[in-house]
Amino acid sequence: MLNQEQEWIILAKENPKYFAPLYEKYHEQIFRYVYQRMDDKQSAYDVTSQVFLKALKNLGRYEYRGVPLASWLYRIAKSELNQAFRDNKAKKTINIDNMQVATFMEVFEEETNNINKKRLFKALSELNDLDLQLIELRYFEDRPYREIGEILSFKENNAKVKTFRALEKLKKSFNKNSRL
Amino acid sequence: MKRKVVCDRWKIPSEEIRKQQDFESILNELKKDSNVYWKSIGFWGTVGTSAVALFFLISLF
Repeated sequence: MLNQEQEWIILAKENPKYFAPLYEKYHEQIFRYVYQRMDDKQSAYDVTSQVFLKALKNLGRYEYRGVPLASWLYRIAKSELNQAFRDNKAKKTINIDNMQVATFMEVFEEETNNINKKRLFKALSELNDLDLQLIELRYFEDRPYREIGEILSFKENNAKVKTFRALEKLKKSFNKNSRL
Repeated sequence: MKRKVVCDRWKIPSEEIRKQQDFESILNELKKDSNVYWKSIGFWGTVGTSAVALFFLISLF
């Protein structure tokens, strides 16, 4: 699969129209990554288009050296998202579902109820950007540490350690909010 | 930065996301951008070299 992908990349470096199959392959996952962190659907589509435009502009510099194209696209998406937040084009949003809430409650050995849900939301919104990204990538999107490392430019082991620390911080903040 | 927390947001179906795909418009944007010569390194390289050359010519004569 990667060989086919590399072929498309080589062709696309010569002529951007050959990037079309890669665009079709990755459009949905990049959109979901962006929309997971935004509140507005249309802005998420716009940012997704910007990601692919930037990818095409910089494709000449892309070389497959252990970082798959998907991770490279996620890195671009991360930077485009930050740009959109800086330009006030979008509001930073944390999207969580009830299943994920239940998972955290299990990890924290707490009961899933409305009070604990509010405590969790407050704790999540208090995390710093990097810790939140780690929690989102690992616990909301279920990504392997290798991929988290590739997206955030860490070694796999480092991503594992940092994610564990982020979870600890989240737990600490959750416990601090016990009087909610 | 303030963050909004949203719980159980409706999941957009894949079909809807696919309908929003528009590779042609991205290619058109790319063409527009590559036509803006004055933003390119080549343009500023030429301008810079010419300016330096002109400066030396003026200082010599």
